[in-house]
Amino acid sequence: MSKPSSASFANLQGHYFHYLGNPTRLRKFLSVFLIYIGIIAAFFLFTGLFLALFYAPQDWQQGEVFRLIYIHVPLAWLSCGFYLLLSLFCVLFLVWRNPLAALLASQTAPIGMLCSALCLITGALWGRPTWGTWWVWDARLTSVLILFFLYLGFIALQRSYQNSPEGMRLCALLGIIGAIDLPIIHFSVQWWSTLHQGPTFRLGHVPPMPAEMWLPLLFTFFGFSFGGLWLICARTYVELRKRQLKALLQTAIPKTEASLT
Amino acid sequence: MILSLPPLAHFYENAISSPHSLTFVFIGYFIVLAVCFYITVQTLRKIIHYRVQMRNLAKQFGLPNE
Repeated sequence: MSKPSSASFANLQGHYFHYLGNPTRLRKFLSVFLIYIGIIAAFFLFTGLFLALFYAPQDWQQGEVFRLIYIHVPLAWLSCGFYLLLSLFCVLFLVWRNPLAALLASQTAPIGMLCSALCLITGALWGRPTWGTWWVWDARLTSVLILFFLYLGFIALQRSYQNSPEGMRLCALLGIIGAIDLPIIHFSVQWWSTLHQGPTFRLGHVPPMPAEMWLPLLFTFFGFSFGGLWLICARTYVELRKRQLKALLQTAIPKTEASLT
Repeated sequence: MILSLPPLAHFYENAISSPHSLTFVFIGYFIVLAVCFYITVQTLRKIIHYRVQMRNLAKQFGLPNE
């Protein structure tokens, strides 16, 4: 008698979790995964950027400046998405004490920080012609700035402890506690009366703009998402290679030299 | 009024104050794409560097590549 499908799925998840919990297997998996994800990211990004600049029409009110939506919004979503991913890795590290989860979290933080910094810069560039100001202490803008500082704090804390397990435990706590900023960012435009506009896209609602405007956004969103994921995986791969080389130089080579002599 | 302003002020009026200008769009796209391109190239260089180092070591000491 076959097991229920949910149990099989849980077993499958558990199997892959343990399978990829090994540094060598993860490195081999990433070496193949990086090629596919890179091709997908390049396709979505180039198509999305082409559509954003040449296919999407001008906005009736904001004119050409509206085109900043195609880079600003994906970066805003990703800065939150990558923090969620970082928190997930922190939970995995604290619960299962898996050092690979700590490694993945440490590689996610710089990419997330970059996304939030670029989101703030493109937001300022969009705000100047439309709001008449580069920056305002608005709830949405301030909460994203806090997210940027959370990323910065995570990186600074991790580097100050030089990747020690004790330091990583503190980083993991910061990563989990900092996740409280994510619902604040999301609901800030609803809880407070802000200069920043409310959510344009909602799950289960038809987008309030024509398809030729939201289709390029969908492409750039997938492009930046896969691109960011590629960067995280590539940085993890590089770090695993570095560790492998270090371990090899420390153990295998002296042994080989000894056996040769 | 605008015609009497110096060229820099003209640029400000046309490019920065006007939402219909493409200036900010190009600046935004340039910053984002330049940063993404730089990081991607740096990461690829590191991948290649460690792969080459690994291969050289493996050759030198007769070890497997992986």
